[in-house]
Formats: sequence, structure tokens, C-alpha cells
Amino acid sequence: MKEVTLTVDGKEITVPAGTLLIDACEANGIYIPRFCYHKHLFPSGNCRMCLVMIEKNPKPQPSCMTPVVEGMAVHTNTPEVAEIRKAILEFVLINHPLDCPICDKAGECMLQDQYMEFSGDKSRFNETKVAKEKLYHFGRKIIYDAERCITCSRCVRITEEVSKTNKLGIVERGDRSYVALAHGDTLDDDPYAYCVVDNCPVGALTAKYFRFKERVWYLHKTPSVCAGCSRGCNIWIETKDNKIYRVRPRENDAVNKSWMCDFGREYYILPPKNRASGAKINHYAVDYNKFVSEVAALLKEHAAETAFVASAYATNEELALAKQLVSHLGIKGIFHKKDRVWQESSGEVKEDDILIKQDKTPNMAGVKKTFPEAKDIEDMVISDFKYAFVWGPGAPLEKIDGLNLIVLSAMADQIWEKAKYNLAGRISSEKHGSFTNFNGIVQNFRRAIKGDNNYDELTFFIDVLKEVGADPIGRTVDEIQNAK
Amino acid sequence: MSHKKILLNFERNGTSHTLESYLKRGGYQTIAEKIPALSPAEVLEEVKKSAIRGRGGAGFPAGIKWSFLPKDNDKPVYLICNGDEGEPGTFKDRVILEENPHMLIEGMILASYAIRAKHAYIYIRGEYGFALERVKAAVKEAYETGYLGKPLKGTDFVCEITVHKGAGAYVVGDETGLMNSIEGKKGQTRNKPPFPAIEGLYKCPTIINNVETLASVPWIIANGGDAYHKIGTEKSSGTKLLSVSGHVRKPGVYEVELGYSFMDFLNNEAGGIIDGKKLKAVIPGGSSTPVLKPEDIKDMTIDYESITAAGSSLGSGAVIVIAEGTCMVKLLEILTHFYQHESCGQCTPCREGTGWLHRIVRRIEEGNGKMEDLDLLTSITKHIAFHTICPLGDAACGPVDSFVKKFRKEFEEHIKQGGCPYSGKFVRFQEKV
Repeated sequence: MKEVTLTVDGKEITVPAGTLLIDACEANGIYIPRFCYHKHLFPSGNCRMCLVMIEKNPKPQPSCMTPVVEGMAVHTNTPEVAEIRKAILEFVLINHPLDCPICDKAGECMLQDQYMEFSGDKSRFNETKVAKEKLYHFGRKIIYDAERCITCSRCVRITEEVSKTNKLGIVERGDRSYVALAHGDTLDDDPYAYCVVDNCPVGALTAKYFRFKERVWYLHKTPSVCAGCSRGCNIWIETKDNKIYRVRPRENDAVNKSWMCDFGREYYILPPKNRASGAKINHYAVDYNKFVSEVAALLKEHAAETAFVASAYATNEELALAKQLVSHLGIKGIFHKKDRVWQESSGEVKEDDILIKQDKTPNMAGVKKTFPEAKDIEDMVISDFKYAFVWGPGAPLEKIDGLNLIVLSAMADQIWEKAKYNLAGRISSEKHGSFTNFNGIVQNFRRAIKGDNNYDELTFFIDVLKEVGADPIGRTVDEIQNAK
Repeated sequence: MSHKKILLNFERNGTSHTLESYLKRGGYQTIAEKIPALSPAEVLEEVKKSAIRGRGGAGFPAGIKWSFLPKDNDKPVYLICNGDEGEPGTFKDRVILEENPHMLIEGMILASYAIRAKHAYIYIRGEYGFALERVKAAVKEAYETGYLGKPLKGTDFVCEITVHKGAGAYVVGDETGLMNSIEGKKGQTRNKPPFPAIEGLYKCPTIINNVETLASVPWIIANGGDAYHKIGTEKSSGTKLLSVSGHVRKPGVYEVELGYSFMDFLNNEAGGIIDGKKLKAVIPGGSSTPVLKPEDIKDMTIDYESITAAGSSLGSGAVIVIAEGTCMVKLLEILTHFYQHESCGQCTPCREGTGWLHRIVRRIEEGNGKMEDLDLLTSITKHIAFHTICPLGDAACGPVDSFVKKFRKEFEEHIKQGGCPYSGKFVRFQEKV
């Protein structure tokens, strides 16, 4: 690729041709403040926060709209630029309500942060602020506060460029302008609506599920991977006291850029109700160790007549241990199925060309890679088997009805009720591991919350392996990953 | 002094806008006689020779603007006539649109031919209902007669014109805002570069000119660029329409040769100050140009250089005359309110700053001002001007800076007295004729 060399504050930097100046500076350690510019949106150049001086140019230029040019000499640290930044911050703040103490954005607000870093001056504004509507319901998900809004148009561009619903627009002019929907419209059927909340530089757009629930600086952020579909969007799960308060996309250019869909988010923030719990044999709770030894003995004895149904919700590491177990025991009937944890909701998008994939399981690619010989459960010949080890929810009951069922699942569905042996597993936010997405990208995630009353599948397979006399390939996620 | 008349060379008798009347006074002759012999490059060359400067306000030479079009270009080229005359005090294009629309159409045919435009647009501001009617009727006549929609005599070039009505926004007078408006978007300006000549309407190369500029083209082609250049001064060639408003006896639109003495214009054409009052101030080129005091305009002539030297700008040629007895603070309050109202809200400095300016000036006028407000005003304008996408921010600052600088005493009086020393109302002198 062609490269361009320019100087920024006297330092020579080389970047690919066509890079925007703001990105070129950031990649070389010079952060240029911004409100409207977002790496994954088309620049609009309207907040004027990123103005810099370019030699031979009498007027300051927006660095978010300026592609780098060979030999360009840019100044970002002159007194003039500093003064412009202070002035823009003063302008942004004159009609801003300064209700930070009750604003959900406080603590991660770009306006707060950039004011502290680039200004800190006292305002000279002595007039009455422009009053606007504080409570616009953008449907069931989002609330808009027009007074806090700095009309950077990021949300408008998200609905234009990401979800392509074109639902939002800025109406009115001048300091009366605000973001609005068409009359009677809502953001409910926009599958990427929460992205406008994540990317609002101030607290103008807030999510109803998180509004006034918790201060952001108390939240513990865990990097995770969304289990809502086979895209595997990178996410932050934000928790406090073992409770998920908020889920936000984690930037990854190769998978989800800066976005994630609302169904994925609601998979975490509206946790499924019918969770399974405990270890049971014949519907009676038993000690975990007893369960392990009974199941191990049963599998060992009936290996030839057992169908093993792998879960596409399992992590790659659990699958590796399961693979070791079935090959050790010599189980031949291996199947996969389409899992489904949460109920289809109305208006749900089955698949689009943005992020959402039709396959709503996070790790079908991992299952197929670990068990290339696995067949679809729909093709199972039931008379070949007497037992079935069903892992994960969503197996078609009519296919396996009549078999003796051992169920390892996080969800209590029909199969769970029919099973002879039950062990409650965990969902992805409760465990460490990795998923392989539809593109074959393997992504690690960390445990965000503790899974009470449930058993870790990884430990279960380790225990069963030990019980049947095999040496597990690893005892932790790291060990298994290194062993592979 | 009698002036050469190019744009208003006829008597306005109620039928002057019709095709019949226009043909009678020699209209569309360039299409019939000159075009078959001239190549597009030669038309462009004549316009370049005439050195006519854009009459919209910025004064950029039109011929040079046209030659910015990319040479090897496979996209369609568009021509736009900017009839969104929104600058307070300006109403000169309206006279052409209402009284002489065929001259504009002829100019647009010539300009389209010169730049090989696929389609031309006339954008008329939403408030000009009557002008819109007249232009639409004229375009219809031109289509019926075959000047539009059919190959020009001796060539294979077809000119098409669409008349587009604006929705009433000052900011659309900026060329990129106007293009957004034609495209059906909100009237907000675009960042430059890319300039319209490279990427304009529908992302295609576009030339956009003021009504007055395009209406001058037929005369230039008929009489030659050199003949046009001989009118006026060396650097400001041709004639200019001036729209005079304010405290003069004969407000209206006058065509004068550039280089004419301003005082002569004020006393002769405009009829002098109303009621025999003394002159207090003049805004020479529309409300966004800096105000001038009587001593600034004594030796000033009406052309781009002289007015710039006097500390203002010819702008659109909208002369606003202010007589003694007018409260300048009240006048500034009205002007700042206009810019606050018309700011499109895109760029932070203009969106927030214009409202701030207005509120401070209003407070001073109401008698609640402080001395430090005057420095605050100039400090705010310093941060609005040249920090925005379009020149609306700059335009809002022109009057504030110049009013505070030149009439600082009046502002201080307001602050010291705690109120307006005048009636507190904007004075409208009534002279019985």
C-alpha cells in the first residue's frame, strides 16, 4: 500500500495514503479531541473540536475531514489550537445542563473528560440557557434528553450507516436543534438501537434498562464474546455484586467494529428465566460426586449404545475434553444440533448483512471442527441407541424420546424434564473459554459472574475423565488451549 | 452621471418580463447569431476576458470558476443559478427574476453551453413566490419556443432547466447548502474541499453562480468580453445592481457602473437621507459586511477594492443606510437575532455562539449590560469566525465586531445609563411625500 510521510508537531510520521489526519495522529500517540468523529462512521466535521493548524492553510482545518497529504506539516499543540479547543468546549457547555451528578454518562462522558483535559476554564456565560425537552421516549429501549444533546449527529449517522433504518434526524435549526424520530415512530424495530446509546458522547441518549441503575465507575468490566449468534461480537459485560448491569460492544475491526445487535444485548440484560439448577438422578437431587461416578460408570458400560449430542453453546475447551472422553470410551454415535436458549421475540431479525447471523448459537463452528464426524441429530436412527448424552438445550424431543437421557444443560426445557440424569451447566457469562465464530475466528472470553447452583462443564468433563481412568489433556482453559 | 445599463436596460411597464418584450429588445440574439459560430471554449474565453466577478457576495471571477471543472470527466456537469437571495438588505436578484427572467435564461443557456452542462437548475428562495411564478412562466415560454429542450441552432447541445423552490433558509445561500437542498436533504452546508467544481450536486462537477452574474453573460457574449471589461474599473469590471434600503428617500434597485462614487450614488440615485437627517452609518454589502461611518465612505467608490480598503466589502451590493437617531445597539440586536435564527445548527461555534451573541446584545439593549460584555462579544466572535464549515459564522461576526468597534461609545452609554438612550424601539422615519 502507498504510504505518506508527514510531520505532526515536528515529529515525522508515516501512514497509509488516504488515512484521515485524526487517525494518523492517534496511531502515533497524539490524541486529538473529538465529539462527532467516530472511527467507524463517515466523518461529518461538525463539532469542530478536532481543528488543527496545517501549514500553508490560513484557517484551522478539521482533522477528521482531512486526508493526509505527502509533506503536510500539522500543528496540534500550538497555543492557537489550545485556545480553539477551549473555545469549542465553552460553546458546547453554554447550553449544556451540567447535571452530571444525576447523569448516567458521568464518569465516561467525552465532554467531561475532554473538558478536564483540554480546558478546565470557568465559563463566561451569564445568560439563560436554552430550555428543551428532557424526556423523549424513543420507544421501549431508549430515552433522549434534548438539553444534554450536543447535536454531534453520531446517532443519526448510526441509523443511516449501521442499521440503515434512517430513523433519526436532526430537526429545527441553530441552538434549538434536537434529534427526533418521525412522528409516531420508535426505535423498537431498529435491531441496533442501543448502539446510539453506547456512542453518544454525552448523556443525551440513555438506555432504559440501565438508566439510574448504577454509577459507571462502580462497574467491573469483563471482556467477553456474545453468545447470541455465530457472529461472536466482542463485548464488555459490566457487573457489580455478581449482577450484570450493562453490556456494551468491544471494538474489533475483524468481527463487529464498534457495534452489536439489541438481541445479543438483551440475551444478557434480560437473562433467560428457565435456568436449570443442581444435579439430579431420577428427579432427586444428588451429591455432585455421586452424579459424576454414576454417569461415568454408565457411559463406560454402555459406550457402544450411547448417542453423544454435542452443544453448540459449549466452549472449544469443553469440546476438546468431550472429544477426549468419547474417543477414550469409544462412543461412535456423535451428533450436533441447533441450540436455542432464548425464545424468539417478535420483530426479531433472523439474519442481515450487518452482524446478525441466522445460526443463533455461538460455537457451531467449534463443534464441527472438534467433531468432524458428527451428524445432524435429525438424521439419527433411534433404534441404534439405548442411551443419549444430551448436552445443551434445544434438542428435538420427538427424535430422542424413549431413550435413557443424560442431560447436561443450563436451561430447563422439555428434554431436561424427561431426563433420568440431570446436571445444570453454565452460560457463557459464567465461565472462561473460547468460541469459534462463523468465520473461524477463535475468541477468548472471561467469566463475568459466578454461576451459583450450577456446575462448570469443564470440571465435569475433567472429573468424568478421571473417573473412567483417563488423564485429561488439561485442567484449565489455558492448559487445554496449549495442549491442543 | 448616466450609467451603462446592461441588466435593467428597459422600461418596467408590466410586460417587460414576457418573451415577446424580451425579443423586441434584442433578446436571445446570442443564441441565434453567436452560438453557431462559437465553440464552448470560446464562450468561456469571452467570459474570462470580461473579468466579471461573482455577484453573490464573495466576488470570485466567474470565468476562472468555470475553468476549475475537471478536464477529463465522465460524470455529468451541472449548472446552478443561485437565486436564494437571503442576505438582509439584498433584493437585487428579485428584480431580474421578476422583470427580466429571459435574460437570466439566455445567460444560463450560454453558461451551460460553455461548460457542457447536462442540466441546469434555477434555485429560488421560498419567500419569492411572485419571482418563482414569473421564472416558471418564462422557462415554459423558452421551452415552447425551443430555446430550451431542443438542440441550439448549429450545434447538438440541448439545454435543460429546472426551477427549484427553496424552503426558506438563509444558510442555503451557500453553494453547498443549496446543493443539499436540491438533493432533498436538510439545508446544511458541506465541508470544502471537495469544491463544487470537482464534486457538487449529486457528487458531480457543478458550477454555481449568482442570478446577476449569469444574467450578465448574454451582454458579454453579444458585445465581447473586452467591451465588458472596459466598463467599470480595471479590477471590478461591469455594472452592479445595488439594492438600497434604510433611511433614504428613494430606496430601490439601481444599476450603476462599478467605480462610481458612493456619496454621489447616495445623494443622486438614492435621493439622499430621509427628512434631511444626517448620515450615521452605512452597511455597504448586506448585513454581514462590516458597518462604515460617514468618514469611511467620503472618498469611497463602489467597487470591490475601494470598499475593501474602507474596511468593509461590496458583498451582494445591498446598501443599508442608517440615519442619525437610530440606536445601533437595537439594530445589532436585530441583526444578531437574524443570525441566531438562521444558524443551521451544524457547527458548535455558530450554533451556540450566535445565540450567545444575541443574548448579550439584547441584555445590553435592555439595560443590564456590563462593561466586560463588550470585550466578551469580540472574544466570542474571534472564536466563531473561520472555525465553522460555512461562512454563516463569519457573517454573524462581521456586524458584531464592527458595531462594537465603531460605535463603542453608544454601547457604553447603554451600559452606564442602564437602558437605551433612544426610544428603545427601532426608528422607522416616516416622510410625507
